Amino acid sequence: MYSRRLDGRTLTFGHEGILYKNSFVMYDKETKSLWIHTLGEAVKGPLKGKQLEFIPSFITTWKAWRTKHPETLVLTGRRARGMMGAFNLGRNPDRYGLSVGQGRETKLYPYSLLHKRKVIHDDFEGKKIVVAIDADTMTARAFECGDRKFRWSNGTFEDETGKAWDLLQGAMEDERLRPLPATPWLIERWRAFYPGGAEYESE
Amino acid sequence: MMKMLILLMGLLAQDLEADYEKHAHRAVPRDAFPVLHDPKLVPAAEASDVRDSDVVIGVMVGTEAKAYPIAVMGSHELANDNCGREPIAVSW
Repeated sequence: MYSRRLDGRTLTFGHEGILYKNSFVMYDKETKSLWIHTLGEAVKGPLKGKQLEFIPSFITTWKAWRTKHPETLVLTGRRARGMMGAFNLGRNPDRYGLSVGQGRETKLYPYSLLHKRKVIHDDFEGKKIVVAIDADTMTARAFECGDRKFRWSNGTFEDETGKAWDLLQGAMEDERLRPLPATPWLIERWRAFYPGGAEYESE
Repeated sequence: MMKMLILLMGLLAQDLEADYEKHAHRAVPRDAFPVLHDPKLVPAAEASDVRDSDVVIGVMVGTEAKAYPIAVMGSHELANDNCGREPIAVSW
């Protein structure tokens, strides 16, 4: 998810109808520049090279989201058929990975491994990060975590001192971790989009 | 140092465009997909056709929370919306 604000103006996006490595290309109505939606980067036109600002979002179940945010609004409408409509991380975890990072600097964490480990500490772009999954809601998130170490303990996501954190928010009382973009991808699609891209391997 | 960085960024941008030219192809005409503009969202209590197990893209800006079921986004791929005071692009 991105902000539509760029250099003091608000952009409106349309669907260009072009696919780049199976990923759709969008255009902005203001300048007709072409943007690769998975990267948030303009590849052609007056805004070529510009990067949209990432807005943290959550991929989770409707039940988990509305329980956390009872005041939420929700989009309704016709359901897409086929794979898009039936998207379910719980059913085929081996086929999916969590792509962490923005633009071209990304790393893939397979869901099969996330399910097994629940919490993964890693170095990414020179920063210490934690990638963790809540198995009940299939919510996986990634945060910069500094020297903190996290674990799941009896259903609680806690740091090394035993303090409980809210994984969905990356928060504990007044403290907040900086979230990294984290998007589920079909692994085969991700590999085709980021050939030679970094994939997490367990030691 | 700055010059090198700008040069490097330029090179990367060129790489992307070259890669784009190599791999991009037109699938459908422009605007063939019904992209959403300022869609009407409803309160959770009125969303009887959204199932508990549906996977949603959730966003919260300030105090406003919005959810976009992937099953619905699949037929639009893209939504221009606002959350809090932020104009957002939701893509799937």
